[in-house]
Amino acid sequence: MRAVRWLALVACILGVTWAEPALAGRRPFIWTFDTDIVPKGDVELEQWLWARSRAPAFPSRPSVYWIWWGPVIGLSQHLELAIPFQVLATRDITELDSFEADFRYRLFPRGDDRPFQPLIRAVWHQSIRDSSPSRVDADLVGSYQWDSGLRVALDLGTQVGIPGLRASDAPVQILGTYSVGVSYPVIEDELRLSLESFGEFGLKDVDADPHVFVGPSVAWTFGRMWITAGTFVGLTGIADETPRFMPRLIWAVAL
Amino acid sequence: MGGGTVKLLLLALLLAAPLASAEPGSVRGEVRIFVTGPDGKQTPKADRSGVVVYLTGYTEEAPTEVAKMSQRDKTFFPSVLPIVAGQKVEFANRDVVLHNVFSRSVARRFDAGKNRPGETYVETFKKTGIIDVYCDIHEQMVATVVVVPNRAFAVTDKDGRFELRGVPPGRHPLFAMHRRDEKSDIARVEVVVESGGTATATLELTETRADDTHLDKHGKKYGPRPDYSDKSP
Repeated sequence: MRAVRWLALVACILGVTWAEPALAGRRPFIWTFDTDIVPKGDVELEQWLWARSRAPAFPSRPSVYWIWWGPVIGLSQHLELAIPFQVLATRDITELDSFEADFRYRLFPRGDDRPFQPLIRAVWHQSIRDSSPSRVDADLVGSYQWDSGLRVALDLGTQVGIPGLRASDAPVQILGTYSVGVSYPVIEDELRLSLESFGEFGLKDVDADPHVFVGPSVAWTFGRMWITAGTFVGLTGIADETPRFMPRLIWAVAL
Repeated sequence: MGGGTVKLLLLALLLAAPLASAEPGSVRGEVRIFVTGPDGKQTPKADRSGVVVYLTGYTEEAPTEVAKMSQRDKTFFPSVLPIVAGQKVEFANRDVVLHNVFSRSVARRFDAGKNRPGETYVETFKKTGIIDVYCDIHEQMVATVVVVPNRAFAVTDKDGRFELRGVPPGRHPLFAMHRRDEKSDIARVEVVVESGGTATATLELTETRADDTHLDKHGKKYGPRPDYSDKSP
C-alpha cells in the first residue's frame, strides 16, 4: 500500500514538473482574497485544505482541520461563482460542515489594466451542523499592482451568523475580519512569494477573543494548475486565544 | 540696431537652430520576399502585402485609440496587427460561433474567455514584442499582434512598398516582419534620417512554410470542442 502511495506521489511530481507554464497563479495569498477571476465560460476545480492548531490559552481545545472543495465557474468577465462543500475534522469526528454559494464580482472586467482593482465577495454559507448557524459573508477586496509585479491586497470582511433560521432564539452573531498581503513575483507569471496578516474579532455576540496571525506563502503556476501554500503564525502575545499555527494549502485545476 | 540687439538676435537664432533641425523625416522603401521552392531555388513572391515594417531606438506614447481585431468566419481580421506599446486592442466576436481568444506568448499572456457572437474583450499590451494570438476552440485561427515602441510603423501593400512618417532625425534600426500567411525571419537594416528628409531602404525576407501547430491555452493538444452553433460552415 505504501509503495502505491509513493508511486502516486512520484507520478504527481513528474506530471507537475513536465507540464508547461501557463497563466499566473490566480491567488498569491493563502487567506486574502484577490481580484483575479476565472475566464468567462471556464470552470476550475478548487480545493482548500487548512488547519487551526491549539491556542496556548486553551490547551484542551483540539486542533481543527477543514477541506473546502468545489467548482469555480466564470460566469462573465466580471463574475465568478464557487459552489463548494466543506468537511470539518477533529481528533474525534469528521463531518460534513456546510455548503456555500460564493459569488466574486470584479468591478472592472477581466482584461482591464488599471493597477487598482476592486472586488466584492458575497457568500451564502449553509451550515449543516447544529453547533454553528448558517451565515452570510461579505468581503470588500482591493488589489494594487505596480509595473514591477509587486502586488498588495486588502480584504475587509464580515460574517453574519443567523441562528434564527433554525428557529433558535440566539441573537445574530457578527464577526469582522481583515486580511492584508504583499506579494512579489520571483519568476514572472510563475512563482510568487507573499507575506500576509489575518485577523478576526467579534463585533456582536461572538463568544471569542480576537485572533491575529501573520505568515508567509508561496504561489506557483504550472500547466493548467496553480497552487498556493503557506502558514500563519498566531500572534499569541497580542491575543492569547489565537491558535499557534494556521497552515493552508489551496490548489486548483482548470477543467 | 544696437550691438545688444544684434547679440540677442544671434543668440535667438543659435537657440532656434537645433529646434529647426529636429524636424521629423520619413522612411520609404520596399520589402522583397523570396520563396524557397522544393528544388531549393528562391523565387520572388508576387504578393508582398501584410509585412509589418517598424523602427526602434526611441519610444512614443501609445495612441488612445483602441485597435481592433475581430473574428469572422473562424478567421481573425486583420491577421496581423501592429500597435504601439501601451495600446489597447478590442477582440470582437463578429462570427456566428463561440470564440476563446488567447495568447501564451512571453511578451503577453492573456485569456479572453469564451465570448459569444457580438461580445468583445479588451486587452492592453504594455511590452513590445510579437504576440501569437489563437482561439482555444478553433485550432486553425491564427493571428499576430506586433507591439512596437513608437508610431513609426507601416504594413506593406501588394508591391511591398511602405512609408514611415514622423521619424526623428538620426540613425535608426529598421525591421520587417512577415506573419500574414507564411512566416519568415525578421529582416533588419539601418537607416539615417535627415531633418525633414526622406530615407530609403530595401529589406529582404525569405519565406518559410508556416508552422501552424500550436497548443491550446492550457498547453495541451487540441481535441474536438463544441462552439455551440449549427450555423458554422
